[in-house]
Amino acid sequence: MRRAARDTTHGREGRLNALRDAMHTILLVEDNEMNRDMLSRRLERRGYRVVLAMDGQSGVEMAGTEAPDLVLMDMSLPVLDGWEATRRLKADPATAHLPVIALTAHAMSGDRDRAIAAGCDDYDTKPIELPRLLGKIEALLGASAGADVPTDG
Amino acid sequence: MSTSTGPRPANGGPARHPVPAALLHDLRTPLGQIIGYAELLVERAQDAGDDALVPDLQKVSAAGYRMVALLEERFAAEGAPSPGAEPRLSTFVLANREPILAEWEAFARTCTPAAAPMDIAALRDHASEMLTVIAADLDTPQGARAQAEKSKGNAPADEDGEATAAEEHGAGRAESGFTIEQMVSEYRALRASVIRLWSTSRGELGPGDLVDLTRFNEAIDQSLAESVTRYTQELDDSKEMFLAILGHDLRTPLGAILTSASFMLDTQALQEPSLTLTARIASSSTRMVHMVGALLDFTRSRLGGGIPIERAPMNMGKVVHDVVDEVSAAHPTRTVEVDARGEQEGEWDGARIAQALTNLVVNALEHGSKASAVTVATRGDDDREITIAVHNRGRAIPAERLNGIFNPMKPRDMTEETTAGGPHGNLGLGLYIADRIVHAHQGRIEVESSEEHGTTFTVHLPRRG
Repeated sequence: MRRAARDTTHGREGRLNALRDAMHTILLVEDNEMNRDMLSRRLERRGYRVVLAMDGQSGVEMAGTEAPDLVLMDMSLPVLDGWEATRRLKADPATAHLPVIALTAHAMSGDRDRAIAAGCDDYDTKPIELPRLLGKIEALLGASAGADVPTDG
Repeated sequence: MSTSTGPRPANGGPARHPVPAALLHDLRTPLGQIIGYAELLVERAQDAGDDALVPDLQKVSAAGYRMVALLEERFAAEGAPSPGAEPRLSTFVLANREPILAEWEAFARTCTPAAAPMDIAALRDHASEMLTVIAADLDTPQGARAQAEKSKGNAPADEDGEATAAEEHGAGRAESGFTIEQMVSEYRALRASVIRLWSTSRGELGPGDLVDLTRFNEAIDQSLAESVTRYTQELDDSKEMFLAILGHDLRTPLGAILTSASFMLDTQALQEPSLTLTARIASSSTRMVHMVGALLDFTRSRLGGGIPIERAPMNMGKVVHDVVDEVSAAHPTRTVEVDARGEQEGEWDGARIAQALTNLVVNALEHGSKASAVTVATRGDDDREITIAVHNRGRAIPAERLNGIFNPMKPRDMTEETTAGGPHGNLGLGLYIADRIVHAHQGRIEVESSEEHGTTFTVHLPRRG
C-alpha cells in the first residue's frame, strides 16, 4: 500500500520511487548491529533495497508490511528465534511464498537440517562469503520471479 | 578462497564441549565483521579508483579467512568408529582367545560401517589384554562385598597407582576419537562374543557356570567403568590442549589484522566512510584479542596448574580507578562509581588484579540493570586483607546458577549470551579467570545476589603472600 501511494507522486522523487520499485527488496533479520550494518551496506551496493528487523517477531511483522522479495534470517535472535520466525512466515498464506535464507554462525552439522525443516529455502554460514550468498539470493529470486507479479497492486 | 565448508555430515562425534562450542560461535561473529568490512572497503576503494589501501585490506580479509579456516579445521567433526567378546569360563576365555577376538572384530566392523581407517591390530591387542585381566579376575576368590563394589564400578584401590588395562583402554579410545557410545558397545560386543561362544561349547549350563557368568559380567562392568572414567578425563585434557593450541594459532592472523587496521588509522589519510569501517575492523579484532587472551589464560590455568603471579608493592585504589576509567571509556552510556576507603597498599600482581577487576566490572555492566550505576568499593580497614566489592542492580542470579558460577564448563544458553553479550561478546570465561587470579593470590571471591539488593561479587585478598 505504501509503495503504491508513493508512486502517484511526480518528478525526481517519483522516478526514485519507480527505480526503487524496480529493485528487489531484501528483509534482513539480524540482531547484531555490526552485522546488520555491514551486510545491508554490501547488499545495497549490489543494487538491493534492504529493510532491517532486529528480532524474529518484528521480522515476521515486517515480512507482512514491507513486501520484501526475499528474507535473510539470522537464526539466533531475541524475542523469537529464526527457526520459529521462519515457521510462522511459512504458515501464513500471505508470506509463505517468500524465499527465506537461513544465516547462522554455528557451523554445526544439525543446523542445516533444522533450518530446512523449519521451512528455509536455503542456508548459509557466517562469516558471509558475499559472492556465494549473492548466488543463492539470485537463484531464489530468479525462481520466484514469475510468482511475484502483482503483489502490491 | 573457499573456507566455509558448509554443513558437515552428522557422524555422531563426541558431544561438544561447551567451551569450544561457545567459542566457535563467539569467534565467528567478529571475524565475519572483520572480513565483511574489509571487503566493503576494498570495493569502495576500487570504485573510487584509489587502490592504495587495497593490498593492506586484502591482507586483512585474507587473515580473517585464514582464521575461519583454522576454526573449521580445528573444530572439524571428531570421532572415528570402532569395534567390540566370552568355560570354567576363565579357562575357556584364555583357550579361545583367537576365536573370541575374531568374532569381536567382525562385530566391530559391522557396527562401524563408515569407519575411518582403524588400527585393528592395536584394538585386538587391547581386547586381548582385557581378556587376560578378566580371566585372572575370574580365578581370584572374592567376597560378597567385593562383588557388590565391583558391579558398581568401585575397583579395589590401586595401590601402586598404575593404570589398569581397562584404564589404558579408555584413554586410548579417547585419543583415537571414539565416542563413549562406541566404547561401550565395544564392551557389549566383547561380552556377547564370549557368552555366545561359551554357551555353544557347553550345550547346557550348570549352576557353577552361572556363578562364572555372573562374575564375568561383573568383571566386564568393572573394566567398563574404569575405561569410561579414564576416557572422560582424557577427553577433558585433550579438549583443553586443543584450546591452548587454537589460541596460539589464532594470535598470528589476528595480530596481522589488528596491525593493518591500526596502521591504516594511524596514517590519518582515511576519509569517511573508510575511517569508520576501518575503525570497526580494529574494534572487532581488539575484541577477538581479548577473547583469545581469555582463552589462553583459561587453558594455562587448566593445564599448567594455575595462573602465574608476581607480587610487587602497589596501591589498590589506584588500580581500581584505572580499571574503572578504562571500562567506562568502552561503555560511555554507563556509570561506574568508585568508593575507596582505608589502607590501599599491599603486594599483589597489579596487571593480573587489574584483569580480574576488569572482568568483574564488565560482568556487572553486561548483566546488571542498564539504568543504574555499577559500584566498586574497596575497604582497607583490615591489616591482613583488603576487600573489593563490585555491585550491580538488576535481575538476581538464580540460586542454581550461583553455585558454580565460576565454572566455565557449565553449558551456556547461546541465544541468551549472544544477545546479552552483544557487542562486547565474550567467551563466558571472565568470571573463571577472575576467580583463578584471586586464588593465585590466596584470596577468594564471594557472590551474593537477590532481587532486593542486586548482585555483589566481593574479592578478599590477603595483603601479601
